[in-house]
Amino acid sequence: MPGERRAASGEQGDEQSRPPLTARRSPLRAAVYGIGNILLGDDGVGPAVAHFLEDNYFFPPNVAVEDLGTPSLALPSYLSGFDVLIFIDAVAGGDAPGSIRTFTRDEIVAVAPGIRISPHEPSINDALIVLDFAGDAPRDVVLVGVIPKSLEGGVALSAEVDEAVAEAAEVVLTELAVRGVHVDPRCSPCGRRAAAV
Amino acid sequence: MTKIVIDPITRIEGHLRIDVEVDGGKVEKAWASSTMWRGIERILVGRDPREAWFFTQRFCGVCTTVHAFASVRAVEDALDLEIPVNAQYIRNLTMIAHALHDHVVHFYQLSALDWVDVTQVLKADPAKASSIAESLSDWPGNSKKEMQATKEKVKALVDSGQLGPFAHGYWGHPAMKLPPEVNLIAVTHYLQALEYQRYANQVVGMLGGKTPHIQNVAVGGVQNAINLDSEAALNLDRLYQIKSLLDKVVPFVQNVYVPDVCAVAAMYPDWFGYGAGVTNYLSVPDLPLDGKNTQFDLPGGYIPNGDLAKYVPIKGQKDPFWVKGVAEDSAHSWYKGSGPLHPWKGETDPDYTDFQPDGKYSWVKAPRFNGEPAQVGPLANVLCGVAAGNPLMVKWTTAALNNISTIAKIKATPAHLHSTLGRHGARAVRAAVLSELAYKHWQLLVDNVTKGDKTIFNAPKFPSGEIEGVGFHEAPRGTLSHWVVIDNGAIKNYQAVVPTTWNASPRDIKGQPGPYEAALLKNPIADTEHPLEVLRTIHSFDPCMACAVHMFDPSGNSIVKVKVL
Repeated sequence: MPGERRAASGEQGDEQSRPPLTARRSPLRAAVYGIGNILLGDDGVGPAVAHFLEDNYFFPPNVAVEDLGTPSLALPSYLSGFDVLIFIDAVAGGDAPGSIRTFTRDEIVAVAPGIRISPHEPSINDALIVLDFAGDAPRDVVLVGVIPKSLEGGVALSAEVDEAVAEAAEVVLTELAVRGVHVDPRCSPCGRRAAAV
Repeated sequence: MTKIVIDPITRIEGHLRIDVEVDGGKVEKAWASSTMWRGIERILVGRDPREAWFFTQRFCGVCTTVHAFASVRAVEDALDLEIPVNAQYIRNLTMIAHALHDHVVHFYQLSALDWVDVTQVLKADPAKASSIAESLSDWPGNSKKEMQATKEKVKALVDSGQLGPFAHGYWGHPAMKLPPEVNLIAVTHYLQALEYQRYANQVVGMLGGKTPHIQNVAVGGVQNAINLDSEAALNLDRLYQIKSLLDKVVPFVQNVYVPDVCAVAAMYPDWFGYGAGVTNYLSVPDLPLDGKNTQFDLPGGYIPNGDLAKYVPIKGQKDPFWVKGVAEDSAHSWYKGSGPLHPWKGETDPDYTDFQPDGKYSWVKAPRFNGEPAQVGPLANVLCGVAAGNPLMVKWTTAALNNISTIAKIKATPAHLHSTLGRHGARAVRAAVLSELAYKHWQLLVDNVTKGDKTIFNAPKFPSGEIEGVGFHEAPRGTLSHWVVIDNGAIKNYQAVVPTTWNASPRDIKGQPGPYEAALLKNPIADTEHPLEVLRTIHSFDPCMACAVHMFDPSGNSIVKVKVL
């Protein structure tokens, strides 16, 4: 693995903004998860950002980057055991398509779960609430949200959202850097797209 | 007469809407409607059939592997392509692990809370709960200490003023009947299920390269290089890691999931009398033992009118009884025309009219088997297995019925299974059967690779001209089939007839209701503002409206609304 391990040891408790991770001696374990359905237009933006990151950067072994698709009820299976979770997902909102909004853990969990009809409905908030009850939930969670333009069937992103992919990836990298995780870019011809960052 | 509409309101229109008319405290009429357009098969037209599985497994985030397998089987069927037995065993093990994960998640995370009242846990005596649980099985996680810890977690949750994951439940509902200790056992196992489902998912990930959305499938076999001397390939070390994960999951299924379902069912004996609905059952054989899909470990077939003596086996994907039996009708669905059309001739041209109870009212088509509605899912699978005399199906069905009989002090028979509770019981039976078959297929794979067979792939060759194929799979939610027409090596038509399409089907051209609609009839409704009983029956089918859009809504609008009209 050419990517050098440069993750913070979690014992550096100097940044005020960071949740305490003092009990851990090993490098902090982070997961970057793109969420969404790639067959439904801009709902595929989460997976697109995950692929962009995988294609353009080397991540150290303590950082998992995955296109999780739409795991819904199975989502808790993927969340345990991490110190930091960064989700990328399409989010509803009145801003212009392609705008990026980040959400904290408290903002995500504040959305109350509804009555469930099918296993699709539970979402990131439900998964965190379930794991909170089990006592097994990661404390440090960020959602990087991208406002979609179209959720119609189709495998392409809209131009506005496609342009936001590199920008959302940059937001993810900044969130990781704040936590002491730095990554190396791959040489640009190796990437699926030219690295715009 | 009161009309209740349960409609998941999301900003992109929900997935499943249920309308019921209640008269005299019972459901007298019901409609199941999918409120979301399902046209994503059209994305596949013109594509290379070898990559179809990559797209189809994105139909749905819960049932990912199943659409990958059905897709490659459809293309292999069209090509008459035999696959290596190693590929068959690897696929089978992946399917089994996925199903074990799915069944456990369904019961504990989705539907147990229809029967279990979490708030009652506070009244439970942990010592008594422990002794009840220990009388049901020898699972080590039933100690007084475990029960006490769960009770404290629930107390902390209730004291916080928020019910966390249980905030959506109908607590204190008059239809909740479990003693406090049984509620405590169930919530303890709900927490343990979170851990054990992960082990099953890890098996899928180890074989599939990643999960969800496995990467190891190919038309012609699998992409798992087998080399017992290589760290990077599927070797004995990895195979034994898989076995050690199965060693955790299998006891959970057999000693926790099965006894829990039996105990809950035994304490709601009335519910063996509700929810039968359509008792024509359809399932397909699965877990093939040879490369040509002629021998299967799980039998499948058709049972008309709940009469097991009239069971007709389906022998394989090419069995004309199966291939010619399936058609989809859109008389009450938002598509042009009414059909019925065979899936190879299937059309997906939308014709939206708004919800018309006597006209078109759903995006789901009405699949029919030889003109009749059919229920699919674990109950169909188990009843076909019992009718076929499959020893594992008979063994676990008998064990579950005996277990229920002892606790409920009734004589539970296979006839009780035609019900809302029967679907839960059959799902647990199926999981137990699969948990035994997991070891069998693991051993078959180990024996074959240690013998020196490393073959995993036979390359497909596409002829000029038009060919047709069907791939079926007995998925966790029931019979899934993908139907493909290939013209000069490119996809010309593609139709997926998914389990929930069979069960959530609207009425057909003859006015025959689908399984959800029929199963809701005569269900008691204690409180029309809180129609828990509707959820019980619908959840027992394990609904999964494929192709859900998954989007976080910070305004919290993604909730199910219950409207009483």
